[in-house]
Amino acid sequence: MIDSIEKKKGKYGHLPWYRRYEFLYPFMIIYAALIIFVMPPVSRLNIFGYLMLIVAVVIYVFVLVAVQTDREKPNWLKNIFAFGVILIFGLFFYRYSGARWSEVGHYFFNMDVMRRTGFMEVGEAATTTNWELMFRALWTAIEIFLMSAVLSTLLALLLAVVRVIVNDKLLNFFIELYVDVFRAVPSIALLLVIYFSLPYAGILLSPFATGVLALTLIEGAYLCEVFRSGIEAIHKNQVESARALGMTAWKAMKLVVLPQSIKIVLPPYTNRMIGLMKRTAECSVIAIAEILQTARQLQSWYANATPLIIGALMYMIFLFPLTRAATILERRRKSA
Amino acid sequence: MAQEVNSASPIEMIRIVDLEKYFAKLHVLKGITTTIHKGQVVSVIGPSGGGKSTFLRCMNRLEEPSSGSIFIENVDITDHRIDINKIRTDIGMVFQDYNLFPHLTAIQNVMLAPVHVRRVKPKEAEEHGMELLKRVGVTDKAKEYPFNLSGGQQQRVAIARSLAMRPKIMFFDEPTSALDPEMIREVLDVMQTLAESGMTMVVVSHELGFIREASNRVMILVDGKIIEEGTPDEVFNTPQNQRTKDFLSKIL
Ligand SMILES: Nc1ncnc2c1ncn2[C@@H]1O[C@H](COP(=O)(O)OP(=O)(O)O)[C@@H](O)[C@H]1O
Ligand SMILES: [Mg+2]
Repeated sequence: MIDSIEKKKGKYGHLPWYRRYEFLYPFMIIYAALIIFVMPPVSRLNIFGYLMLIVAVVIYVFVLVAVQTDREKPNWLKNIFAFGVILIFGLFFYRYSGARWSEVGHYFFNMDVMRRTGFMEVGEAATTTNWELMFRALWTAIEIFLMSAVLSTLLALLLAVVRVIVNDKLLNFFIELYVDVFRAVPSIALLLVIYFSLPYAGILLSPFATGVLALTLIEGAYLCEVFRSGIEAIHKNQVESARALGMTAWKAMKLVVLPQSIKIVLPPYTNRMIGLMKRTAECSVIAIAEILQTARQLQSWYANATPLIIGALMYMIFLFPLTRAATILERRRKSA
Repeated sequence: MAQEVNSASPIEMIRIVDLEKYFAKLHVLKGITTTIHKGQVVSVIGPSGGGKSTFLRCMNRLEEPSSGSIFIENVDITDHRIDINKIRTDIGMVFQDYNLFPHLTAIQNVMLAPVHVRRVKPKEAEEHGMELLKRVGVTDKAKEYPFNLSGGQQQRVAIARSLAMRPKIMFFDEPTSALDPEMIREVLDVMQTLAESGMTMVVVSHELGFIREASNRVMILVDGKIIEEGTPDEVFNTPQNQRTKDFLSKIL
């Protein structure tokens, strides 16, 4: 490889020293060694130590840019240098953040806490492990998510289609009012209002029903706008040729417009769904034992952050397929 | 020239009485009265903005007429008690921009309305659809999406899509205006064959060759009024109206 570079020198002119492999290979080894063994520990970080850190970062950035902008360099080398950025910052954080790393395992990844039973001794809780409590909480969150996802989708689809097809001034006014109001209301406020004020009107809703209702109303408002823009993006010529064939307005919508709108709507829709799942956490304000509520109770009971970490991981793992889907859909739409 | 209408007992297909159309204050159609018989091929020509498209679109109520009556086979379609969707199944319409459904293949485009509106069995609709695609010469593209078809092919599929409803009348609104010159012929050929098969047609077009060959009646629509009509020979060779002469001098 060095050979071929040497040969190309004639063609590309003089290769500067910092782009040559004679420099880069030794640099990588010496830099790694220096940063691991010579960097001062946090206790001895004086003004001189700070200067060293800054110089080290500047040098790395310089070489990184030189490598990344060199079209002759192979991808694996570029990748190593890019990965190096993460490693260096990870190392700096580990060393200089002042964290007590020896206790991280105990406070953040304590499986013993998760295996314990008898939390608050409710019901048969004496035999229920905290793992089970967390998984029940996950299931509760998923239930709220699925219910409000389905209901808000149906509500929004109905409103968007009515808005476009019926196109009645008064009806449109009310739909717009609904959309504007519920897009402006914070979901936590709505949850509290429904939960604590409806009982005065004689309407008693379970916390679960309250959560689903509040999230559905808010999500429905947003999705209504998403669907409407998807429907309106389809040219009116499409509707006209469907109508000219004798289709009713509803059939034209169902057979011609909506199938085309789906492609436009799917990426923002997926993003809204991801947001909806995360917003189930807000149901903790009305004491639903969903992930956040359960994790926080366990955390304060055991004075240990592990349940919170587990909770966060639960969201991430559940949402991973959705976030991937959103990315892929977005990319496909751009390339189409 | 296409087959002459049986002049002994012409069957009335479309009768229009005092049709007027306003877009807000804009007076677009200013009283049109005419009758079109079964098997007639009527060409409508006139300057841009004269109301040709509006005229066609009023006849299947894609635009609501402001006043006047339109009888299709003696049914007044401006009467709001009739089911306009039912009437439209009998009237095919071909647009300038083809307007195929981009999410469906050619054959699916053709089958969609028969299956979902006429309730034809999918298998039958497909057979009939393939037959029509063969008639317009795009059998080999049946499984392609509109995106992959040339303009001429798309327009021919659009014609097949309209024919799939077995209409009694076909409207064409400048079907070749959006096409590259080398594709105009293939679409006109299909229309000519259709005219010869006895279909009642109203065609907005400025393809003089086609008008002379295929149509047996020409209407000149200027400024919302039919200022002159007759056979192609009469209108082109011995125009009576000064504005007809002016218009023809521009296009001939
Ligand atoms: N939907 C509409 N709203 C308002 N004005 C329209 C509409 N459609 C057509 N027009 C107007 O009506 C007139 C006739 O249009 P059109 O029927 O398309 O004429 P042509 O097809 O002969 O070119 C034009 O002035 C046009 O701007
Ligand atoms: Mg027009």
